[in-house]
Amino acid sequence: MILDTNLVSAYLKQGAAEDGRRVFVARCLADGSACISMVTKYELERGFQKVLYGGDDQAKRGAMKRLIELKKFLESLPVFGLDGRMGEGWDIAARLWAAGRACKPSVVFEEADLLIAATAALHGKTLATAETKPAMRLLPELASRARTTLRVEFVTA
Amino acid sequence: MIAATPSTIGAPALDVDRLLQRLPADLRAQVKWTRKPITDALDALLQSPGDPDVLEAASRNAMKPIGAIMQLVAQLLASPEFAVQRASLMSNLEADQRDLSAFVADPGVVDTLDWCLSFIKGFYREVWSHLQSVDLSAVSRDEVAREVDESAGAAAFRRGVFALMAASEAARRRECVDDAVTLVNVAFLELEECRHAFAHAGVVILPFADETSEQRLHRMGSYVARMRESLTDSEFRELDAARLTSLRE
Repeated sequence: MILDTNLVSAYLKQGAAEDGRRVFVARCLADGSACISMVTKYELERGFQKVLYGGDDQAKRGAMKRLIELKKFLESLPVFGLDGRMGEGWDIAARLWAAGRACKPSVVFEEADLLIAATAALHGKTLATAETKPAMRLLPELASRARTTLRVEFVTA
Repeated sequence: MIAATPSTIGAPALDVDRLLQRLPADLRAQVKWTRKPITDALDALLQSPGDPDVLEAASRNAMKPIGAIMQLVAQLLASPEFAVQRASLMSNLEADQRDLSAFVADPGVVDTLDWCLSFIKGFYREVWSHLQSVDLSAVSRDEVAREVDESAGAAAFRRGVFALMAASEAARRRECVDDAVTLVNVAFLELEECRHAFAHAGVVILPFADETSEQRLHRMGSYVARMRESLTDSEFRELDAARLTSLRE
């Protein structure tokens, strides 16, 4: 199960324990199915790094501690990239993008959504996301047109 | 394969004095000269614990004396009592960890230290599993120095271990706890870089290779709990703003 960035982010945020996203991620961690895309790792790391680079000394010390907690957390999860099998994941992403653009009206994805979806398709994983954009609902159909298979599980708060 | 360097052919140690006490008196006498240059390098880093240039220079300056000690330790490891020596060196490292953990006290930093030490132990388990196929006498100091220059993974390992040695020294001297914390954090980042570099070369070292799934879950839970406790709303806004919407942004 590839967890989308929005799910990991919701899991890390202090909030209601019964939030559906938190419950879902906790279940995936418990049964060992949780993994993430390299894109999610990149997005989370750059967000934490930005805090580290921006603040005063005291803020930096706090940000450093949190960055290290994040890194330890991410180190404990399998992380999948697009580069395996001679970069085939990038080919899948290109086909997904083109399949979306060929629709009338065209379906446009944010880059992260597209690359994470392609990562899940490449590795035969289900993509779990809390994303509510209509384009995400079309992903399985577009994947089929793009000559690949993608299962998507939508998780709500 | 991990290259033969003073760090990799020798033994893990944060407290050099404790390591030296394990050596027979005649061997200890041979490396008496190493105390001053190592102390000088540690002093330099303790004056600027967060400065990467100082860490690079100080850890490099300490390489020759540490290398001399490690070559003696490597001789012990090559002896018939290999298993006993190895167990004794590991217990040294555990004692170093206990002392430093007690000094830094903060649960998050103690946990980061545990990650670092677990990685180092995993590193040596990997190295020692190949030790019988390495001709230690063929690893001259010049070759060792050249290897360290060439390998990014070995350089990160050198810096990471030396940062921990300095943190350990700060604990022994009862100096500033914040400096020791900074050094543990720096060590983590260096050792993480080392882990990635070795993984890239095909050697995957898992810091907690023997843990059960329950232990892993518990460990991850503690990371998340600390992040939840300390992340502010404005930091979460920064995280949201860091989403990748376009490769051209």
